[in-house]
Amino acid sequence: MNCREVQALLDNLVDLDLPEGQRRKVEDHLKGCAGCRTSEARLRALLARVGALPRSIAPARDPWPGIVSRITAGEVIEHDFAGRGRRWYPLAAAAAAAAVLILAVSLVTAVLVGRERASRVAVNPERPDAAVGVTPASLELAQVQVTYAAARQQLLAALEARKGSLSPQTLAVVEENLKIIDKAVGEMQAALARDPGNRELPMLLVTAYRQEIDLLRRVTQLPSRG
Amino acid sequence: MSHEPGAGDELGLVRAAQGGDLPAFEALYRSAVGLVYALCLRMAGNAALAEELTQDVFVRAWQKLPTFRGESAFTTWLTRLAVNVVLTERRDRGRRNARLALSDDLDAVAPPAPAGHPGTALDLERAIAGLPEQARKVFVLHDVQGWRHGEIARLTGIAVGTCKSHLHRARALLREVLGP
Repeated sequence: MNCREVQALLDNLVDLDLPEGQRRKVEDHLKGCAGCRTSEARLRALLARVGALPRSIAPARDPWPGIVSRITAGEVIEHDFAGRGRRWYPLAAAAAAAAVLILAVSLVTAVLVGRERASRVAVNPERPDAAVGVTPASLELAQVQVTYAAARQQLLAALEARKGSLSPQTLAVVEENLKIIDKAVGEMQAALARDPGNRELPMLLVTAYRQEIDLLRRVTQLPSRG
Repeated sequence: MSHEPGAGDELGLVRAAQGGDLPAFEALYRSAVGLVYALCLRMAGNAALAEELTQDVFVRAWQKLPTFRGESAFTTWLTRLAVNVVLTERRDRGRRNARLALSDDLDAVAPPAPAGHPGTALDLERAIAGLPEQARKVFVLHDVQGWRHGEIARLTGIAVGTCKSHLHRARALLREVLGP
C-alpha cells in the first residue's frame, strides 16, 4: 500500500470503518512512514478537539418570545416535496385566538400591576376613586373576557361547519373536553368574583382560556376523515 | 439558560405539553434550547439564521408533540426534528452575506475558549462555519453529533459514498485551515 492509498483510508481507520485485512495493511504502512503517521496524528487531534466542543450554546437573544407568538397565532409549518418550508395561518381562528391570548397575557400583568398600584393609590387622598376597586385592570378584565367569548364563538362556529367531516369519536372527545374546560372556566370566574384580590386565579383562568382556544383551533385544523 | 429535567420530570412535562400546557413546553424549551441552537448554528454557519431555525424547530416540535410516544428521550426526538428542519431549509440567502456576517456572529456566540488554550474553540467553530455547505452539514452530523453515514445519507438523500467524500473533504479543509 502506498502513501496515497493510505491517506485515502485514514478517515475509515479512525472511524473504525475498515475491514480487518485493509486495517492491517494501513497500520503496517504507518509503522514505516513518518509522513502518514503525522497525518493520522493530526486527524486524531482534530477529532479530539471536535469532541471537546460544547454540546450546548446559548443564543445571544432568547428565541422564546418569537416561538410563543408563532404558536399562539396558530402557525403551521408545512414542507412541500422540494423541502421548502411554508408558513400559513388559519385566518379568522388565528386572529381571534392570538388576540385573546395576547390580551389575556397582558391581562395577567395588568391585573397584578394594577392591584399593586391600586393598593398604593388607595391611601392617597388625591385619588379616592382608586379605593373603590375601579382600576384599569378590572376594566381590561371585562374587555378580555368579551374578546375571549367572541373568539370562542367564532371557533365554535368553525367547528360546527366542520362537524360533517370529522368522525363521531373525535367529536365526542372534543365535546367532552370542552365541557370540562367550560366547567373549570365557570368555577374560576365565580371564584374570582368572590375573591377579586386573588393573584393565582387570573393565571389559572388564562390557562383555561388558552386550553379551550387551543383545543378549538386544533380541531378546526384536523384533516377531514377519508 | 438551561435547566435539565430528570427523565421522569421530562416525561411529565412532555405529557403536559401534549395536552396544550404552554408553560410545560417552555420548561422543555429551556432545557433544550442550547442543544438545538448549537446544532442549528453549526449546521447553518450563521447566527441570525440559526436563531430563526431554532424558532422553526420549537414551533414544529409543538405541532408534532402528539406524535412523540416516549420511545426515545425527548432531546433525541427533538434533535432529529431539528436536523430535519435544518436540512429542509431552502431560504434563499447570499453565501457572500452569510460569510461576511460570520465572524461577527461567532464572536458574539462562541463559547469562551478553555483556559490555557486561548482561541482554540473559537478558531475551530469559525473553521467549521467556513466549510462548504454540504461538507459542513455532513461533518457536524457525523463528527459533532455522532451520526452514522447510513443515517446521514438517508436524511440528506445522498449516497453513502458521497457522504464519506464530504466528510473527507471537511476534515482535510479543517486540518488545512487550523494548521498543525
